[in-house]
Amino acid sequence: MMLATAKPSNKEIREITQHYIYVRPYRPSVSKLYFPFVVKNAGFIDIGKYYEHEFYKQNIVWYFWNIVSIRKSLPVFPTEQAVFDKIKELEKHDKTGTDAHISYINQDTIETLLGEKGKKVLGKTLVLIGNTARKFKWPLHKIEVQCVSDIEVKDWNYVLVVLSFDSDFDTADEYLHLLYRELDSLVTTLTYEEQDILQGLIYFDVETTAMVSSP
Amino acid sequence: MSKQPPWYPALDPTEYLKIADELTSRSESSAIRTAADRAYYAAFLTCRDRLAEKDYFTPTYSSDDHPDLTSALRRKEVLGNYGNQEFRLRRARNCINYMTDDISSATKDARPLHWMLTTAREIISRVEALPHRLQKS
Repeated sequence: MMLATAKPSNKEIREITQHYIYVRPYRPSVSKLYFPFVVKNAGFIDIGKYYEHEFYKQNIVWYFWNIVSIRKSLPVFPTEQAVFDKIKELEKHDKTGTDAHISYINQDTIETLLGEKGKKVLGKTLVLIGNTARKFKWPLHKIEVQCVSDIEVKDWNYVLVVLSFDSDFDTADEYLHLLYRELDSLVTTLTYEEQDILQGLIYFDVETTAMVSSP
Repeated sequence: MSKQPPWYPALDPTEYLKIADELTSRSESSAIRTAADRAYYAAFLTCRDRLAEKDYFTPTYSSDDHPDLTSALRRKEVLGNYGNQEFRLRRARNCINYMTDDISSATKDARPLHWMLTTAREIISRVEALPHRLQKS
């Protein structure tokens, strides 16, 4: 899916890159463009940390959309071979719970609904989910983000984040309750406006691969 | 002049849970779907009324109360992100009410009846336990 393609101005790039480390897209046709990494004040090791799992890769690419508006499908890799090697090394380690693939259904609708601040809140939320999944080794294999309209209430549109677990329903339900507590901690770091966005526009549910465990 | 009895007397919405419980013993799909629907409305109406009484929420008594209440429940001084459970209850109820085909665990939005009832009770219990907003502050 193509998002807005406006190239950032040189001034914007300078401002962003004061605090970010560069990576660049793989595709030769755009290889002259250097894109900022989203990790503030990061060094090589920190980059590796954030690239440790597939989840973060995808999330970082998601941030790229917001910052420089490139296609999601573009693979990216750091300009420095040392960082690239570090990433490959880290990828060999434990991946449990962080291999979750994030997919967006009607991304443009989601972005329109959320606006710029909402996209940041969603980004923070997805990072939190990834961290939590990794911390507790959840069998989380997919995160689907979609825009939904309520079947009865006119103009009630929201973003639904569905977490797909390789577990039975009751276990997935427990994971979601644990996520609520993590989200409560996240809320304390958000502005009032961001809290409103999270509470009013972003909702969560689970789906499972196994049968419901109890009648 | 004698006062006419109301067509529908005043309701404590938690009474819907008793009806829902009774319906669980029946096997017809109409019965268990009605039970699931009543579980949702028991939670929604109780939350709406209790939160209004406790000054956390101002209802409009229109369909707008659904999104507004769902959002209000998730505020940190109310239920925090646990309030998302009321949203899940509604999402499941929408599926159960409007889909007439078989609904199984493979149906993404649906939830089993025992989950609907348990979740409705838990939400109500947490909302009942909230202090009045002024007392809290």
